[in-house]
Amino acid sequence: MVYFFVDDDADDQEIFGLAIAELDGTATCRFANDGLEALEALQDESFTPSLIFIDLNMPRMNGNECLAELKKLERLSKVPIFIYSTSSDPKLIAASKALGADDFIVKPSGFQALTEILKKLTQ
Amino acid sequence: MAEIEQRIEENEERLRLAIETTQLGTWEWYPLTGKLNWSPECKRIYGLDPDAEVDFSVFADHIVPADKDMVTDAIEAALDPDGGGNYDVTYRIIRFDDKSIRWIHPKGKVFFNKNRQAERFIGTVVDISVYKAFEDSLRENEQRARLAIDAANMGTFDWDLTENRFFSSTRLLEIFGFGENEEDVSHTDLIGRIHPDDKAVRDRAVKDALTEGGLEYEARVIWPDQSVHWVRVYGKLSENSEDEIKRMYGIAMDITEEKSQEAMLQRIVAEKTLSLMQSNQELKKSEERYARMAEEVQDYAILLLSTEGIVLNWNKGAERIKGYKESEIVGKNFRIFYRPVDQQDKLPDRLLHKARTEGRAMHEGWRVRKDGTTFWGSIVITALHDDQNNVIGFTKVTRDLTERKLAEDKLQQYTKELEAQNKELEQFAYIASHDLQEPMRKIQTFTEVLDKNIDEPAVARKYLEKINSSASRMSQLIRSVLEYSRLSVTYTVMEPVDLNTTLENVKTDFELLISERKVEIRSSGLPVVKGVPLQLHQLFANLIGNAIKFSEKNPVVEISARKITAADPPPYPGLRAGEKYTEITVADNGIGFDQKYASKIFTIFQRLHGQKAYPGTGIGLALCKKIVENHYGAIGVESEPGKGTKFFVYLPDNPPGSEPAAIQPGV
Repeated sequence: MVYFFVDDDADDQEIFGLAIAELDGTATCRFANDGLEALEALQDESFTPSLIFIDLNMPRMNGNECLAELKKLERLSKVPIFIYSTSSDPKLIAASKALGADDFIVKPSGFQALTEILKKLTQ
Repeated sequence: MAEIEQRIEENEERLRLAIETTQLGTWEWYPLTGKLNWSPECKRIYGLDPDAEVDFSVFADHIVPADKDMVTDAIEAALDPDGGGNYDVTYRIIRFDDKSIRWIHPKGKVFFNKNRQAERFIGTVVDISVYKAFEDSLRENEQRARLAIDAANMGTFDWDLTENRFFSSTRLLEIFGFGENEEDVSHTDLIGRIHPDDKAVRDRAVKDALTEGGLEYEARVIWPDQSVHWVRVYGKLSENSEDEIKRMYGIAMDITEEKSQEAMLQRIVAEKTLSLMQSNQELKKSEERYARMAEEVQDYAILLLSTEGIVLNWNKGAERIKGYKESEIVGKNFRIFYRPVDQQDKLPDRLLHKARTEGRAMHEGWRVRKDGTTFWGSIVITALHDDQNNVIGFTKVTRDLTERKLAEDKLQQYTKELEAQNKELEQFAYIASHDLQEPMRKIQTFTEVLDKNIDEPAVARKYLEKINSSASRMSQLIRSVLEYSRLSVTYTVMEPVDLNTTLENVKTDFELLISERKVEIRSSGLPVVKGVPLQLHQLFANLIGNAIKFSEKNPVVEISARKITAADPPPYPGLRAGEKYTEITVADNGIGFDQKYASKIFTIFQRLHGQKAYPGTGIGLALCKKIVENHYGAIGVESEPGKGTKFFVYLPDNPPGSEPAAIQPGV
């Protein structure tokens, strides 16, 4: 399993990595700091993540813009893409779903809560 | 009779000769333009040189005064589109050269255009003075002849005043209602038939005739069948000094028919006159009532305007609303009620034009009173028409709706303020739910991770530090939000602020950073502006702080200012035209950004750069925008990646609620 995590917050990247390591010792995590960086990483066709998580509020290219770009890539058509944000604004959730996000995950307050969410997604 | 016929023949022959020797003049007149052309012959008839200039006055001024009305009537009849357009008149003129009086006979025809306007009026003219002289003599002869014929219908009398004998013809007796067979009708009998009311008329006429010689009167006579007949009597006194015989002879005729027509006409005229007088009086009464009503109305300014917009009358309401006395305003153009900007914009002319073409014009707007103060007027201008539907003037009704307008404006202002507050509240809700939650979430998460690694001191310390930094970030955010929310308190007192002092204070705040990053801050003679000192300090601190933060080399920050006069166009969207502003520019040599983000950067918590590279709360520029808006100004930005950023701040010299600007040092 290869997880691709797009978020400009270094702390969130670390927390996400810790949670994945706890769930599956063999899984790997790759990070990007914003939408543009994510698109650059995916230029390499040998890199096809199993699951993609994108934060919404990022500099340069935000989450929804990045999502729209990824949806154009044919080779990612079977890869689940989740929006992962602090916001729980219904308007933002609807916008992301309309752009083709498989789900919208509100960043939980707590490490245990996060591992549980990720466990459900990978099952 | 044969003698008369012969004379007529003779005259006609001489007339023919006269006409043959008389040249025909031609003329043409264009009533629409007033242009008048006369042929040389035409001018000759008037005693003018063939190349003399002619105009209508040459024609009009040389008609013999007694004939003027007749000529005018003839022209008017010819110009009537409902008539045949024919002109045929004979009258006298006074020649230019020898001032002699000539009879002329113009004949003409009027041509109308499709709008039934007389366009061209052409004709001929002949000097018929010769003809006229003969015609007159002819007429005399004719008149004599007619007299003879008419005589059959006249009664004649011969009254010997000396002997007091009265001879009357049979016809005269008939006229007075006596039968054919009645004989020995005396003078007294005849007089007895005269209507009692007319006896005095007859007596006076006879008395006058005895001294003046001529008798003339009209009187009614009553026939035995009680029918009333009008009789006209002419007589002449003949005095023969030789035989001392005093006689009066004359005629009498029945003029009943003539009289009855005349009487009928008189009655019709009298009736018509009476009814006209009555309706005129009623009209006058209602006009008076109406005028008085309009005069007394106090809540509306009701005035009459001429077609050009000149004020013709004034009422109490107009005086109350606009402040002018009647004597001060009548005769002036109504434009005076409009603000100079509306006058320049031709608003009064446009309203008058609309009323003229559409019948009515309505408008609401600011108007100026005599003392220069303004009021919110609601006006209706209505065109007045004559019978031919020509506009002959306007009525203008004005109401003072200032109170309503102010209440509306206030309501609108409240609504706007409420909307703005609502939007701000929404933004705060967003902050609370999003940005303030983020450090909180991290603290909770790292606490759990710390708990898992509580036995490994090095790892535990790492997460403790993370918890600590999240907590301090949270308090920094709370402080910024608090600062931002404090700005919402309006009605702060504005005072003159010397921006040079403000800049010095900010430099002191950043002393350490400036020496660490080797920052160069350039500025030259900044002005004094109206503002809240603490807020302007925050504004400078944020802009200069930003300039230092977003730079990779040694930062150079340049602060300058210039005046924008009232004559300049508004310097930034949303600012008011005709207002004086100070433009403050803060330019740096930093990393810059794509201009497309220009509007985004002033939104609270919007950041263009990652937290790692350029840490910040995302509140700084939102705060700047808020401060500038509190000062009734605006902020804008120009930037390009790698080329630095320029912030423009516009502050009004006279923000609302402040005293007029004090004398300020030049920029």
